[in-house]
Amino acid sequence: MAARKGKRTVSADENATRPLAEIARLARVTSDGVIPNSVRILRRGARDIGATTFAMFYTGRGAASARLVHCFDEQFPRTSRVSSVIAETGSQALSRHAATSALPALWLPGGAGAVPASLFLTMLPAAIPGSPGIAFPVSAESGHSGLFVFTGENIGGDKDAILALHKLCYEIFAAVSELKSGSASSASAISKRELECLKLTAAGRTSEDIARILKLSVHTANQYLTTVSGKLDAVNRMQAVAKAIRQGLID
Amino acid sequence: MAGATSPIAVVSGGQKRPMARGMGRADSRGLNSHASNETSRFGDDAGNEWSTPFLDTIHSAVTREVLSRALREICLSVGADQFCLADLSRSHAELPPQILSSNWPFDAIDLIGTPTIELMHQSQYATPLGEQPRLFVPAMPGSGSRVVDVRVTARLIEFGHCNMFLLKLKAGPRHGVCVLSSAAPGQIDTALLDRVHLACNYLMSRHAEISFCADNPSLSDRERECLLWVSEGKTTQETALILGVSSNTVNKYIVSSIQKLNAANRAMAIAVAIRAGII
Repeated sequence: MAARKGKRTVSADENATRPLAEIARLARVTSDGVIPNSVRILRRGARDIGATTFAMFYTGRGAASARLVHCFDEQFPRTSRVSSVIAETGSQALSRHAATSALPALWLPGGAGAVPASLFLTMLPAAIPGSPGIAFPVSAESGHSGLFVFTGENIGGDKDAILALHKLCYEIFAAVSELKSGSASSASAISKRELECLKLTAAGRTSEDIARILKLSVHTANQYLTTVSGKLDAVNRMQAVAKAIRQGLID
Repeated sequence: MAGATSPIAVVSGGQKRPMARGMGRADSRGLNSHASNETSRFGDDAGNEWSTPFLDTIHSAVTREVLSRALREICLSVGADQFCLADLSRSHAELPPQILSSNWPFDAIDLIGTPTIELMHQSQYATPLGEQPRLFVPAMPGSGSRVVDVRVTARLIEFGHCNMFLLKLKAGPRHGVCVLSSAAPGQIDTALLDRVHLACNYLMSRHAEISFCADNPSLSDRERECLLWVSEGKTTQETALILGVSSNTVNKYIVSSIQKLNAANRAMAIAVAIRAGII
């Protein structure tokens, strides 16, 4: 147990990010020109704001437990050094921002806070070593969310440049996250009834409540929750609820 | 590092003017050289660019008043007459959608109803971020009736929703919709709508920041840790072992976090905490 205690954050993170890592991998493998094309478009977009590097990450639902999962960057199909540094040192600040806000977020290596947040830009409290950068949170209809990160010594631009680039990021994310939606395995296997039970559990309902609301017997409601826990590879309904929300199966 | 702080001071000084200047990294020698003074050109001569004096000065908390003023400005800039911004994410399934800001007449909200807004949000006319917004004309045969029933369609027309744009919003754990309508056809400037869409999303996001701070007391590190482990499927005893405390202590932390999150039980506390980005 002592060894366990030492590595506890690591094991929790691996659990939380495994499906996203798989999604990112599948997106790269099945890219079929979508990612190379996105890289070309983003290269132009990055130039508009004076950025020299860019990267796309998937982000999980929970802020503290989820991490950035690298999908591609300007050196596709390789991984650039900048994006691995960002994924390592900036993941806490960046994934927390992505989980709570939709605003572009700027960070400066010398420490933040000097520039007041505006409607079109917010400052990240924690700095990431290296050059300044800007992160654009994005989301797609599939329920996945992500983050586009641009860095560069001379990064800068006006409101229109920010809005134009953020829109571009949304468009690209929609295209990239569509790549993997055909291979979403666990979600498709879960029945509508099981999902309803899970939703009600997440809303604080007991099995008895669920049985009454869905006009089932208590045993059936429990049975649904047991099977859905199994399908989500969860040991109990608490973990099943957590996994379902993090994977975007329920709101 | 030392060099990075002084140019920022220049920017924050510059932001006293009504037009907020871009992105802070004012050490823009590189920017100035290759993009020829782009920041200072922005906003002053308007031109084709989207000029929004009030939105540009929002640096503080987005309260309801700020929200409604900002949306009025957005309406003015694109030529819309009516707006309605609704937050459709709810922690409790039975709660109705929350209208954050709207200039619809009171009886319009009452007669058209929040379920209609939710139906429109689910329809094919609602546009996710990144797509060019689609026009929704309730009066068009086979258009309005496919989204809402005839009675509600008639109400929409009656209250001056001739052309409508349904902009889907998503910010962190929250999702919602911004409905912009005009009384006359072709009145809304579609070229600006993609930027308006993003701006509305930013507004909902900034508004959520303060409302979240206000009604969610923060959990202590220990409470958060306990909830995280329970959400990973650990039992109380296992969590106690992992954290090196007694199971009574773990239970105490979990009970207090359930109370702080205003949840009914553990499963709901976990759901609320994940949605709020706490764990």
